[in-house]
Amino acid sequence: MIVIVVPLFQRFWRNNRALILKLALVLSPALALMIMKAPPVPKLHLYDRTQSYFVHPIAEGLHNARRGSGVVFDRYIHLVDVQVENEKLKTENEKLLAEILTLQEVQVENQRLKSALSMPILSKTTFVTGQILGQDSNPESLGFFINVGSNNGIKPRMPVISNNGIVGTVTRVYPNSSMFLALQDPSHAVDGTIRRSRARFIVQGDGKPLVGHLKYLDRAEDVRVGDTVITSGLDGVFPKGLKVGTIVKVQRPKSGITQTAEVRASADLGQIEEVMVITSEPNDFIEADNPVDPLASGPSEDSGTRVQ
Amino acid sequence: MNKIQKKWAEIPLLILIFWLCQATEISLGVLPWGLGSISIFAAILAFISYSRSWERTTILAYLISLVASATAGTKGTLFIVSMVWASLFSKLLSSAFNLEGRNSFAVLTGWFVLFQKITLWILLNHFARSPTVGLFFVHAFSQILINAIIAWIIYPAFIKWDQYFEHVPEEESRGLA
Repeated sequence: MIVIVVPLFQRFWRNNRALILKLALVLSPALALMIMKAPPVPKLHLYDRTQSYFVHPIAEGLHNARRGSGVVFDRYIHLVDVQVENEKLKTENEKLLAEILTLQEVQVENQRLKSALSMPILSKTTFVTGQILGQDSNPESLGFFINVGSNNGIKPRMPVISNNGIVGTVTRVYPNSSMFLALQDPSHAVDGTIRRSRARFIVQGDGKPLVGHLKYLDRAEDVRVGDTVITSGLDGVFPKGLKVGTIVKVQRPKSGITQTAEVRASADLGQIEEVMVITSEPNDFIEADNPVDPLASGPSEDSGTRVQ
Repeated sequence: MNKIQKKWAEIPLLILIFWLCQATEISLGVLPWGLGSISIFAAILAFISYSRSWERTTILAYLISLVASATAGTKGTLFIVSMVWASLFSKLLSSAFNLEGRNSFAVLTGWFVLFQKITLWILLNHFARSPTVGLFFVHAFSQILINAIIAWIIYPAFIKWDQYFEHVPEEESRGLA
């Protein structure tokens, strides 16, 4: 048997060697796909870490230079109309001074109310502020690079927020920089709830720069256009009560047990320059969500510990 | 520089160029409306498939895709696989048709991007989550256009690079020219 098969195989190999090799090359990515299963928390290759030392500082410099040149250009353009504008501003200034006095009163009132509510969300959290230094090159994903990394205490899966609400989650961490996936990325999801009706669902990114959609939203739940979506705190990543966005569209199909809705993220990716990465462990959020006495936890002015 | 010096200088120089290109594409090369970035890697891989043998194309496609994946937000494995398959598809195209000159190379790069986008979309749909079909078409169309223009502009530089570092075209090296 072997005497027959081996020479046959040898002849086949001799005649079709080039074809077999080409076929093997073409199929090699499929093999790579089967072998290289992506871990839930991606580990960085040596190459990734090395290139981050070089690429990210240059990118940061270029990003800042672009912003700087934009400012200089804008200022020059503005100089042309500055005299006319100056006169207009003088009259407006008088009006504004009067308004400031009123607003100061409102601010004092606002601070008083905030203290009463005690803002438990960020009372026990620590965060690191980072500046955006670039965006990932692939349009299929919405990833952003920031200038803080493992040396600043950043770890994968840490939540990223801005003053308008949640922004995304850290996915890759380099020594001095890191990358986060934005809320609108198709592979990003957050456990959310409607502030008014407390309806629960998953907020899933759509790949569009502004909008995401609600998944697993019960048909019976009360959801309306204009409702504010906040984090539920149940995903173990984001603290409870952070703003996600506003409902802009609700679709209730004729059949089925769920309804769908579109949410416009409160943080506009095009406008964000700085973000905050929450470095506290999820357990701290749970403690912060359930204070023994909300009024005893003090005013919220100094909530959050700014590490950098 | 003699031939040996050139051989040793080429790889560090390439890595330096790649890093500079990556720093530029994530900071300055970002396109508006979420259309991605102006990237040079598609043109490089299309040129490799255009000018190198099957074996070299595969090996270089793996290495260069690994480099490019550092600034791509999608899962690294899926991105690399889509780039390698697109390179092999471009190799098939360039072997099947008699491509020559700048315009042909720009068209080949366009096909490379289209195949890479389709492969990546399918892989993302299967292994992760892909953007909607509408967004895919928008991304694919804009990226084909941009990369074809980049390829058309950069083609003479690629040819000069090959001449300087004395790379023998595939057909000549096999005595087919």
